[in-house]
Amino acid sequence: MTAERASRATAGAHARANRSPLRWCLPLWLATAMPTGCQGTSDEPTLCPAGSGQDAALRRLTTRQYFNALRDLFVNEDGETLEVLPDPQAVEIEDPEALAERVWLPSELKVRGYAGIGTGQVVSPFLIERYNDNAIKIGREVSERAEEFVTCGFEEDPANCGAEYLLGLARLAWRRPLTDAEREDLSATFVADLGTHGASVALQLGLHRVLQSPHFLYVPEFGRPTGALDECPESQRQALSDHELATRLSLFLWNSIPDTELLARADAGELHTRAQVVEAASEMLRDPRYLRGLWGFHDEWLEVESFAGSTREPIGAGYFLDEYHPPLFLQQIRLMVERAGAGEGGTLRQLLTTSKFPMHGALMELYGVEVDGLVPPGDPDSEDFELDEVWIDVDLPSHERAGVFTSAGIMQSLASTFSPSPVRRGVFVLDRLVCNEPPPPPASVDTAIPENQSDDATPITNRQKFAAHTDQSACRACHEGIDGFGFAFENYNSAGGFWTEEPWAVGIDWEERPDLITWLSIDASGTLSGPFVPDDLQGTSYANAPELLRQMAEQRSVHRCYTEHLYQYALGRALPYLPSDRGDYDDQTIDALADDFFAADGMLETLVLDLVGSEAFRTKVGDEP
Amino acid sequence: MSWRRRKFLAALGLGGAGALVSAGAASLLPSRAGANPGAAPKRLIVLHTMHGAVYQNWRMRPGGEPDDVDFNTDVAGLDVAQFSSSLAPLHRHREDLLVLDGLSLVSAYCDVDAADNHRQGQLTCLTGSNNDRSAGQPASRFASLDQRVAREISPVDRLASLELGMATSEGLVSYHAPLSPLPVERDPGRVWDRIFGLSQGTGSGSELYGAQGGVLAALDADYRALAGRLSAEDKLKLEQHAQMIRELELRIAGMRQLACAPYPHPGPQLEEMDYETHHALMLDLLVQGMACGATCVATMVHGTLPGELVGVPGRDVHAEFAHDSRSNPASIDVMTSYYRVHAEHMAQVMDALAAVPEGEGTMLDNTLVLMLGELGNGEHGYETWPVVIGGGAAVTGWNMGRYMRMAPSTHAPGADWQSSGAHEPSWPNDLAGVPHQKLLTTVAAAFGVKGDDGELVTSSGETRCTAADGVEIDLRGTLSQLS
Repeated sequence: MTAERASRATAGAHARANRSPLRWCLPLWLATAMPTGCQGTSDEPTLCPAGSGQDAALRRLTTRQYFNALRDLFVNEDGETLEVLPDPQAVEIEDPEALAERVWLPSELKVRGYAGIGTGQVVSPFLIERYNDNAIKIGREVSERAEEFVTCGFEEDPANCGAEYLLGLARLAWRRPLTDAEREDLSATFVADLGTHGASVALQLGLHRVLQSPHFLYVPEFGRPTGALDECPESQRQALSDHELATRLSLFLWNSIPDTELLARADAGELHTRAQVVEAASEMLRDPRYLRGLWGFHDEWLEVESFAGSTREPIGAGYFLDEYHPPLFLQQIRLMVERAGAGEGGTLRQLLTTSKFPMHGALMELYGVEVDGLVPPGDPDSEDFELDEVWIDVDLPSHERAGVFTSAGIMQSLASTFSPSPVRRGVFVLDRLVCNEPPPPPASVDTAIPENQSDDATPITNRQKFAAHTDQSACRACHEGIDGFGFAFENYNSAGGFWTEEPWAVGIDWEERPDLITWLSIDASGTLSGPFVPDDLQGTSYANAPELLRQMAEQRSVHRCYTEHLYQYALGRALPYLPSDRGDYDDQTIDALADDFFAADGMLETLVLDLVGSEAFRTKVGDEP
Repeated sequence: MSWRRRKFLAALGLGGAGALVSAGAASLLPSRAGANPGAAPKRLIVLHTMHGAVYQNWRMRPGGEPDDVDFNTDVAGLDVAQFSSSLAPLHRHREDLLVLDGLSLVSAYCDVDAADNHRQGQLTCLTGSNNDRSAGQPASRFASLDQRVAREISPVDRLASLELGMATSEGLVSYHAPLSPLPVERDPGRVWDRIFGLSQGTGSGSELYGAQGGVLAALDADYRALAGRLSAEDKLKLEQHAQMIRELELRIAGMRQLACAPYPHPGPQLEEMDYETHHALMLDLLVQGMACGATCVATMVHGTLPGELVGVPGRDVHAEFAHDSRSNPASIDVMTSYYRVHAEHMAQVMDALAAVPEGEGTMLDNTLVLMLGELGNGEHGYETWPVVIGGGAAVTGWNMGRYMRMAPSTHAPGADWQSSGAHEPSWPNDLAGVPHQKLLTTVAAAFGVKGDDGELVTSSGETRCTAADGVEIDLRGTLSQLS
């Protein structure tokens, strides 16, 4: 950038700052309210925050929830589901032939990374087409395998069995008892279709109706007629019904619809007090289906979708990423999440700092380890190439890796072909761990990174290259805050491998002559300062990313940010972009949850149970008077 | 939904529950806005590209014209060497081309709440909208051009539009309604399902689709009943859903009757396909689908091209080349080739349309192909926004075979704005290009899109934007030079 251009850019930055100060480098965290109340453990009374907050826009099942729900609705005696239903948690690359037969939905729009946010769930003709086609495929398989899935004797007595089956299915899919009118309507339609089209088609048409019903696809909430929660009599918010809570719980914790047991609690009216909800949730955490919920949140929080399809070839590393890497990266993170999150005692600290990494034979080279019992993969181009399913935990050196944010999957997704992207890494940490995502650079700023590629150029590191660029005063305002986080990860090359020296290979044919590469020592140390850095992290100094993460994992601000993400995910509602647009209600609730979570040493289970017991989770905004 | 369409649905009895259109009635259905039966179909294909162009290698100055004058010159008589390097692949269609030089996404510079440049460009390029974050992420607060045109011209019993993606992760540009971007599909097998599934796939012989009328009518009632119990915004969502179910009912009837040339299912081969094979297949599906009336409107969204197409295999074109494509000679070369690849893509679209006879000419005469993108150049500038129009002369009545230069004449949006974009250093700093809203309005009007007053539209998206010095920039009106 020429001096003239730089000065213009500076003027531009200031001009924008005057127009929209909050968007320009004011640390968002500083603008959030401080805690105004205390919340005890789950046995203690609920906090009743002031104000009424906002409601989520009407939610629809996400793609994962839709498929999980269908897989839970159609199960035969052997515990198998329909062949047309895909497993939305599947990591492995499936046989494309089989995939083509499965039902599917269009891609989803995500808000802040989450597909379950009501405002982002757009309806399109494409989506409506797919719901119908999917229902047709499902109906066809169910009718072909009626003996397995319609077990009331459909062949012998289609009239009674078909209606009974459809009513039972609707009750599960719609997650509440049917009204008399609904029962009558479904039964009568089935009987009429039976006469017109015969048993098989009538059954299928009934399924089409149940599976495309708004009561299945959407999550309407009307609340209890009794008004506020008993323990918050002054609150303007309206308590949810037992059945509505069953659905909120199961979508959050199982990423699916409630099972018969949970519905039975709701039927009995035993799922609305704080103790009842927390007790049900505690049991749900012990169910294998909780993994779907854990992965559902953490996959989105960590943006694992961005893992796929990248070309990564760190110069001089001797390895590059192949097509089989992304599913392994995802599997590794899923295992780490499972170990920290499923079962008692798992903490945020563990997720952020553990040096115990699940290892696969095909990841050993990248992680620089050899592990007994693991074998490196063969030639991926050979006919019989197959990845085994063996994972073994290994302890990695604590200066090399600390938790999921240093996993190769995340590191390689925030890099270009040859080099790490410290800006993207810094912004990712700010967004996902600090909840202070910087605003985009103003349109008037030149964001190009000069390549410095002339043959006689002085060798400089990736960090020096970026630092020179963002030292411009206009950029400095934000990048001081971003780079403090971003440069910490310079030890992870573009494939996510760890190294302490990086290559300078301008002007040489490094593939032919790797010996000509100049190796430069990497500096991943730093001090957090400037905008976006919360108070409790200001001045934090570190030698490398693991040191930084270990310090971050001790701070309340990081626990609060994790809480903020989980809160939005659980409620299906994104907080407004500008802190000034956020209501006190959410801030008070999140602060109280974060205090408790932090006081409980970051126990994930504490946070989850506190959250489901909170007023925000158990109520909705009351109807307009 | 336009009033005409509502009226039409009401006439069919679809305003209420339970109307079932028999398959035999499908052929009687007029277009959404009641087109003249027997007239040649009108079609629109939008091609969306990323990272703009390298202006100096994109523009043409066949007569050595200076930058600061308007000119409108015939390109049909130029030989290929007189075409710019980036536009050269389109030379073979020069008689059907209209190159627009001098447009700008200028309103993006005045938007005080702009998203990052790529997203801002994507949300505004077909809508003319400012950024609206109320749904939690950057979005347009207006419907997009392709959707406005679809509402006007697409038959109600066919796909209103198709959104195809060469990538799914990079950019949504079509907005069905405010804050409602449409998903794109990149899997050719799934695109085939949408186009041919009901006439040649599992839907063709299935009695189920024929028997579904009662289910869809019942669902329509279910959605409206629930909608009636919800708050205004939630209600709208379910009413939209119900409306789309009613449309699906008509579409199933119409799409089952399509008499398309047999087209084999492409099979599950996406993962093995390179970019060009993938593109060729998507294009073929689209043109064959359009030829038999499956849809009249399509948007094809290109992601960042892979390095091997522009001579840098394995490299990250976006991060390594686009971002310094005004200063680094190597990047200038790569990004010049980059646009050339898209020019070739557009030429292939035109080849395919020109190969299908229709009426007295070919499909190309009745199909307007519009290539534009999210940015003016790879360094995130919104100026020198490159736009090429191909074909569609029978729809628009425009004189084709022309290169139209519009010199900067718009009040500059900000004092500093010139440093950012592809504004050429020799150009005046106090003037910007022509607002892109005028192009959108011109194309919409050419397709007969009308406003609430029943007259042809006079604006698209925002109607004005405020420059940093407080001057209001008028974004309304059309490109009068075109007609």
